[in-house]
Amino acid sequence: MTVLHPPDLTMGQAANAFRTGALSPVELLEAVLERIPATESTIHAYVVVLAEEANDAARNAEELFQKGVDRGPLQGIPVGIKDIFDLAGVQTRCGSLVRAFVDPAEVDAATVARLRWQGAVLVGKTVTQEFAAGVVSAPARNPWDVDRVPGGSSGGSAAAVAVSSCLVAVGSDTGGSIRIPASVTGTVGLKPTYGSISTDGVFPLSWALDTVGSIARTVEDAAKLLDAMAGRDRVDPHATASFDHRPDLHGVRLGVPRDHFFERLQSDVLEHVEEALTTLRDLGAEVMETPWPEAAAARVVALLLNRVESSAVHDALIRHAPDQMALLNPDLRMRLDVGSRIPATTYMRALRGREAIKQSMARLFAEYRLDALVTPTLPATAVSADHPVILHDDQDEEPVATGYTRLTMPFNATGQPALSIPCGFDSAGLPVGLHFAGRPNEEQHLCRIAHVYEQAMEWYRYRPELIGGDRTGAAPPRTNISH
Amino acid sequence: MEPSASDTESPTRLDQAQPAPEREGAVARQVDALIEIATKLDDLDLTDVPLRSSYDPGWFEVE
Repeated sequence: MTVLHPPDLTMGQAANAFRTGALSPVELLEAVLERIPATESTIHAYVVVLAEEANDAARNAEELFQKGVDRGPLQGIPVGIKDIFDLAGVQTRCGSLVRAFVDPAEVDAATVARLRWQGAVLVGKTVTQEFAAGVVSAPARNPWDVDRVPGGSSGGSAAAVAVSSCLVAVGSDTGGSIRIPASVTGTVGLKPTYGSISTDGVFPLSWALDTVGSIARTVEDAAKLLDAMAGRDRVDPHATASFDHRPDLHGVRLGVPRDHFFERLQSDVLEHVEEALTTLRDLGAEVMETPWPEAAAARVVALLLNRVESSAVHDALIRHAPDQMALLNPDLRMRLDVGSRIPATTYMRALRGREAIKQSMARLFAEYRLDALVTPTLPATAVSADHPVILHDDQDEEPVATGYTRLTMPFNATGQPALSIPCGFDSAGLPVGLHFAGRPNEEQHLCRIAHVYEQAMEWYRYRPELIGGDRTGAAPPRTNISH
Repeated sequence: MEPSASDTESPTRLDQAQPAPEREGAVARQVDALIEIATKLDDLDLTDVPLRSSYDPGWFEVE
């Protein structure tokens, strides 16, 4: 029988193995820590690996199991934490030289504290684009092609999950920062409803839009991590991961807003998303055209709120610390300068516009009695790290920051939950993402829909060559554990 | 330190950080571009649209 190494298990598989005694948290962490040196030399997903602390946490998780104490699906699971979340005793550098000498955080972010109590093994802090403002996440690279970007701003988290140097990871999404890296790394990225998960202890980018979420290899793992961060336990009927496991989508109504979301796509992306729509129909869903004329305006709303608020976040820096400003990446410095000069009336128009956008989305779902919208996550796959622009089929180039957020940002404006899952590979073997957006506070239903597609296609079984996978199509076989 | 009136009325502190005239021009052009992009919101009917001061979890209910 072919076997997988423990890090290649999904979180759900590892959690089951803990409970049958086939694997222990200490054994799993050992295997993960063995993998990290091999992958980090090219992927650079971590800012810091907290091996000693993680070993203590794994031993504690193991002791809890031995005592019969079960604190849920995260117990003993290696988790990566984006470096804008506070971990007590560790610097929160936010990927910026400005914070190179910042004091270690005194307390955990609220979400991190919940994970820690539930027995999660916090492996380390993952690379973020500077202050979570961007889509490249240097120096992290994409495991499917190390010359390409892992997306951003939660790029380190997604890259780490893609090579299983952690089993799940925490990210944040203000304009697509979970879904973008998930799409280009072939992982699952779940942005929940705005306001549903605490952002306490998370360095802000835009208060009106910031959302904490999860990155994982499967929808179910992403849902379980979300529940753990929200403090929802296993018996909570409203838990995201407690969706039913019917294998079809009969009775589910899916809307496809072609205007805006299907414009200017790479042909491989369009082809795979169209195939996915066919699969969703084959699975029993009613898939219908649902124009949403406000989509472009929704993106503008999110863009303006993001730009102005990120400047407000760094106001003290802009006003009083020119020497610190000079340490910022020039693109970010420019962005903050620009945001600080947007008239207040324009910002207020964006705030009012957001209400109109949300009303339009509510009407769309009501008119078509929708369960979710389906779109591509991105117009393109992973771009070159050296020349980060989207190259369209007509050879036209589009700035990656603009292109990657075109399809994700509208759902930051509405605040509704959205999720990216893999739906195939382009001709270069790079992952393509499929995007679902659901009803507010109905992540459970959204995850059920995505889970049915995922289980039908099993794209998550494909792994990067870097860790022994085969991106040409030979998925690793179903397997048991070896250790 | 409380901001002075001059802090709020002009971006002079910003200029001290980034004095290059060409950079100032680039910033100004991007500001103009964002304000231009914001005109796309003119297509939205903002009549009777409330400005909520906090997130309203009931916004998805259609009357």
